[in-house]
Amino acid sequence: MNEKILIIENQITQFKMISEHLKTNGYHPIPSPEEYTGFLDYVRIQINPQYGETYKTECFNKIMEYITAQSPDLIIMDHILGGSCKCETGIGLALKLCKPIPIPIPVLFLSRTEHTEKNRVEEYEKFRNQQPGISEWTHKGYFGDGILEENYFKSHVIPSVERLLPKKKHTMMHTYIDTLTILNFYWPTHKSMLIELQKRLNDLSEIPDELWNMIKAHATNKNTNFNRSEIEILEQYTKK
Amino acid sequence: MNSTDQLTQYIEDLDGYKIQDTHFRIGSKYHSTSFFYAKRLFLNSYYTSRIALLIAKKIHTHVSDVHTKLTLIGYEMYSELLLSLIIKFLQDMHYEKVNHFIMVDANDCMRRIPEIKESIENYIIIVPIVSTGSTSVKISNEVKKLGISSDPLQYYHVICARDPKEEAVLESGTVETILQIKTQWHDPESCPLCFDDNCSKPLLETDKTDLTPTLIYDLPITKQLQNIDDDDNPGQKEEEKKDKIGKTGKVGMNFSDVIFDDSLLYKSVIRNDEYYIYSTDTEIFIEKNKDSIIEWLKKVKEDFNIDIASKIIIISPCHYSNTSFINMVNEILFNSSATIIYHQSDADYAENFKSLNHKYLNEDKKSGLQIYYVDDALISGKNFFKIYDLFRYTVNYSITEAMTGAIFLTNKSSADINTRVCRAAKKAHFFVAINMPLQHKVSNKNPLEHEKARYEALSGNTLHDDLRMAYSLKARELRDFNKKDTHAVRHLEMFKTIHKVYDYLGKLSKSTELKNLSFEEFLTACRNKDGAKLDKFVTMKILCQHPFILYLPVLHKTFEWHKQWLDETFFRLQESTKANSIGYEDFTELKFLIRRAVFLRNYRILTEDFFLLLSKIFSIIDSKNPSGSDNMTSNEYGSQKENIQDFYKYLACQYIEMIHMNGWCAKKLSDILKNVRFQTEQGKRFHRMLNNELAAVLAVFYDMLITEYHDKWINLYKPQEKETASPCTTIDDPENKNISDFLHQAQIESKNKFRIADQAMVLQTDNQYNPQFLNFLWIKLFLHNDNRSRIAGDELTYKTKILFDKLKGLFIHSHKIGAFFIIIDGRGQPHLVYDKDMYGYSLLKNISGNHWNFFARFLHKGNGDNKTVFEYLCKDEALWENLYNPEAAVPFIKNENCKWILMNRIGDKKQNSPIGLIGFYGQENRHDDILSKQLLMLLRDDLEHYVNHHHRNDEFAHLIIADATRRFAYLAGHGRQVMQSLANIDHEVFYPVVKTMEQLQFLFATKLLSSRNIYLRNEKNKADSDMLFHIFHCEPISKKILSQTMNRTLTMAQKIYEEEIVEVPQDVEITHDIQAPDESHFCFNSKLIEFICFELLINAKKNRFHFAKDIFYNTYKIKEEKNRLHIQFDLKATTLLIGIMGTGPSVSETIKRDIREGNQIKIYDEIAGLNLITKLIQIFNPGNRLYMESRKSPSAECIYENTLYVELKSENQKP
Repeated sequence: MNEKILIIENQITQFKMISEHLKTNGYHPIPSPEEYTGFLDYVRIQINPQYGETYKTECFNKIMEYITAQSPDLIIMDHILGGSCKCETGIGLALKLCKPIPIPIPVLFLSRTEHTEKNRVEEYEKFRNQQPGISEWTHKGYFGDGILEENYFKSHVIPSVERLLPKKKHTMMHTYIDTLTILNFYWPTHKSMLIELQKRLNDLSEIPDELWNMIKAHATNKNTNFNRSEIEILEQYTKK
Repeated sequence: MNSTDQLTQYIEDLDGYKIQDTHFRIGSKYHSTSFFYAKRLFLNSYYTSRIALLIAKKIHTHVSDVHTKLTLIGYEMYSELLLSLIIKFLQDMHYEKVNHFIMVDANDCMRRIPEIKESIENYIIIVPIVSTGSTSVKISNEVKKLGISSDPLQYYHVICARDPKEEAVLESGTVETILQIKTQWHDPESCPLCFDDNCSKPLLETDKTDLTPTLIYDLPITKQLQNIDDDDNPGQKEEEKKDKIGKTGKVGMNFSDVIFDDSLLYKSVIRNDEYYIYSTDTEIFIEKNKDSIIEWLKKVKEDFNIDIASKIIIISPCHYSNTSFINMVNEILFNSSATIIYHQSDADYAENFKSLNHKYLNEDKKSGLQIYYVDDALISGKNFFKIYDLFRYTVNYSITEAMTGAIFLTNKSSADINTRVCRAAKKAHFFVAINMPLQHKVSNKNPLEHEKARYEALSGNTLHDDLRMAYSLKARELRDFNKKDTHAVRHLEMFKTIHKVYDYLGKLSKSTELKNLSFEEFLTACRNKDGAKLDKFVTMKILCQHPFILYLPVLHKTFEWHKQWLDETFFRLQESTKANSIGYEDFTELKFLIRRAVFLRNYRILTEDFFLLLSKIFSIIDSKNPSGSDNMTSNEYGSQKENIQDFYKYLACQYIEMIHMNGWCAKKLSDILKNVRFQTEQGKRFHRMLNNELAAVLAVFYDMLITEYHDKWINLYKPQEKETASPCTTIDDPENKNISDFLHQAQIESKNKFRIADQAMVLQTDNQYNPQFLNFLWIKLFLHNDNRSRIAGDELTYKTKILFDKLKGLFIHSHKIGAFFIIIDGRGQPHLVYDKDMYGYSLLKNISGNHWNFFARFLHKGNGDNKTVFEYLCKDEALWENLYNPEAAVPFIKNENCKWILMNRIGDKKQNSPIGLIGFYGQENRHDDILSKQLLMLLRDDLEHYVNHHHRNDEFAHLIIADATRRFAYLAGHGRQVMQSLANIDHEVFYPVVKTMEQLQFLFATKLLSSRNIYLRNEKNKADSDMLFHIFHCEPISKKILSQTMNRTLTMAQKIYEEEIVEVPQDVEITHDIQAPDESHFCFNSKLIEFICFELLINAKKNRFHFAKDIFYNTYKIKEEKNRLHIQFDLKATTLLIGIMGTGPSVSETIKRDIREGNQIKIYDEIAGLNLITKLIQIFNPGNRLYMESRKSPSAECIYENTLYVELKSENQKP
């Protein structure tokens, strides 16, 4: 446990509340309240088209530096980040953030934007097409008085977090296999590859059946021609 | 006579069952030059028994084992006699197990009579008459549906009447034809008998209910009566005279001497359960002809040789109209001494009649008892024969006890009834004899009822509201039996003409006498004794109506006369239109002839040259400066203006009727409409209307699809198993593959109804169904099935979304189309239920009140015209041209994605009022995409049902309430947490603003904005605005009040920037400035000013400049790390300018424009912040405005001083 969750939320009250709820449920929210103002300034500048390009690029680099350093397991992303101007939304930002990272971080969009809201559906669809299987959309669960109530957070947000966290492992696994199958194709002696595989896979605990099936299908589809003995080795390494 | 002559004579004497040189519709695929009246032939055992024996022998040869179990299957009820005779002969041949049933085609659906419960083993199909043999195949398929897998042992086609050029469907060895007859067939699409003016003939068909041709083969027969003054042959013996009187009866007056004025009733009488087209009001009739009637009755008295001293009884049917006449008869004939027995035949019992009247009616004849039947009219004879039978029953059918005579005021009976009554009554006297149209049933209905039903059907099937209305009015006119006859003079003329034409035709001994007559000669020949020739319009009119249209020789002749007349008129008008002139009489004559062409199916009006003439006439109608003094558009005919201006509608109605009578006319029209261009407005309207109406043939095809493939079709998207998923997901078929597969599988291309629709509308390209057509079928199916479900909330939203995705698919390049859907709920409030452009954005969500008016006039009954389709094209900037009326350009939105717009009004058929508007738009002009418009028109009824089903009920009302609640919550969601937190921080400063905001949000969410953000400027809205003025009433804003407001604003500003309620705390440098005269007339609500300042402050903080740590200096080499805020109030005599400047990044011109125009600034929120301020201040005064100015900060180039100004005016301000 104690997975790191990066919160990108433009309202400080909301940010504080989400942080508290995450802590209560055993997660490690970042940024800290002390880091929040500075980090969010980078975000706000990055998403606002009215700031100069150099200024924006510098801010984006700062955000990426932070993410690389912290290596969060999940991002909780607000949808509307930019106040009243025509700023980029959380979906656009998430797409940008995922692009340079070899293993994309799962994103939980937590927003009060309605599920059926017209533009949101198309925009989110675009994200899902580019980053399949690593995101969910959850409503903040309030319209009026209450703001992200604890019970609501526990019953609606935490299950999404729980579903998305292993996705990082899935995507890592997927990336390893992808790399290794290419190596396999060009490099007939598999020894070093398998050693690498063993090392990486051992870092990941409890690989579900579903993932294992995916590995096998993936290997076959890519014409990588794993032979029987190799499959056995793979099975062995993944405790199957 | 030698044997050859004898044989010839024998054959000549045989009955004929063929109508030759005719034009008959055979099924839906052929028009034939001859018709074989098989039904009559097979109902005559003289022929049938011979045929039955022949077939029985053939069966015996084929199936020699007499123990074989056989089932004979016939077709239509008239084959029953043939089949029962075959069975009889087979039984005579010792076949033991033979049964039979008949297949009957009822509304395109086969059913068996009787239902045989025994199992069918070997069956033989016997069809009395076939053309292609498709009926046999149809029967065989039906039999197989009963679970019998084997083919029939044999098909017997008794008569096969086929064009040798056409191939038979069944050519296998199992078919045996008894009698092969050659005939000539034409493809209805190009039938010369329809479309070749040189040889065209009226198209005849059989009554669908019983396959009987709706024809009478010869001329009408009239009543045989003699004039009361005419002496019988002086040399005739008394006995012979009596005999003749008994058969004929006497008439008192010539028809032309009788006064019918005022007493004639047109289609207003229901009597003996029959509807009569003409009747007479007896009271008025007697009054108008009193003297003549008295004179006549005196003659009748003489004729009967009445002895007053005798016992006299009058028997009469009891009804309201005959009492005056009976009293008159009693008084004049019998000195009021007769005993009158009234009998109410539908209420009184026969036994009671006998027991009550036995004593009177059985008195000794020697006592001089005389019994008369008296009634005001003889029509169907029902009353007479009921009473006559009772009388005969009462007198125990005694030979000596007979009726003395019968006296009727009018004799409107047919020839047969007349003879029967005269015979039964011994002596019958009539004041006048009238030839009345016979009440032939048409499709089991009386002619006028049938006509009413026909108009109702046309009203239902027509696509334009205008035309629907026209048909509906016609149907209503026929239904309203109590309505005053507004065309009494015309009807009297028609009534008299009918009598005279009947009279003349009845006197002709052979139809050949009619054959050689020209129309003019006919009009002269029908003249009455005063020598006046019949009016040709009235005569043609009645000849084209029931009953004359039923008489085959009359119909042929009328068709020919009409054709000549139409041609003459055509050429005459062709000449006069060259001079850009046409007289009103010519115009009405043409209209008259077009209408008759429809009745007679004279397709001369379906030619290109005829349409060119129409085009010219339209040009004259639309011309502002017609030449010629008698021109129909000159002021002289001002009263007929409406008639002329609605000519296009009149014409469209005529052609629509033709399409409904013969679908192939649609194909013909489609070709003509492609080639003939109409230059002026009326012509274009006509062209457009007719083009849309061609789609009716597709509706006919769809009906066939539903009838023939009902279960397969409606279950096309039915889930295989019971699924828990939404029903919408199961019909998600973007390419409509299920539908195209289904159509191919069912071989729809070969169906006649599809062929017609395809030819008229082009539904296929390169043997592939057009996607537009497939989308149409998908929508039809979806809406058909949707009818059964009741859904709510998001399901309805989703359903509407997928429905509209498909509706866009009715257009070519549908991905470039946007659409919207406005419906009016049960309370008359419009709601925007769908609104998406090609990119998924909204077009109408934020339209202003003025732009909303653009739609409002199409949505309310009585506003605007009663049109169905509207099409606009953006001409320049925000001015839109009405493509159907170029003079009426209107202002509308300016949007780069919307340059062309098409709207279809969804109407409530029953209420004849609009209930919704469906709109499509795009960047390109789609005016020429005809198919899409046709398909849309066809869907109007289904969409009407959809709206009524989902939106005009509680379900939608709940959705609206939920929507309003959600929107209120939505508004509050953003503000309330901030506000409440602020109020907690400093109650004194923020509480009044919190209160103001809550009041405003409630008003806006529930009152001032209707659902879906359509701002309605109607009466209800005015009341809601008044509520706003009442809560936030205006007061004079003095310098003092302004200073106090400034102080509070400064405190608010400090708190908002200091606290972390609105984002993180920020350092800020605040300055202010007030400019106010000592005295001012400016009035506004001070709470609202404070609220506005608060909103502007929040906005300023949110849009402050972000000084990112480390980076700002590195990037810009400037040290400024603090935002500035400047608040200014500038009060003038009648205005107040509030300005709040905050430093921030630059602001785009788009945002400035959006702020200025009151558009939505935030991406998703419906209304809040600046948008709320704009809407609020403009309710008080449309001149109030919010705008932004932005300039570079003097201290740093990257930082801007962005000032939001609110300018409030108190001139013309609402209270």
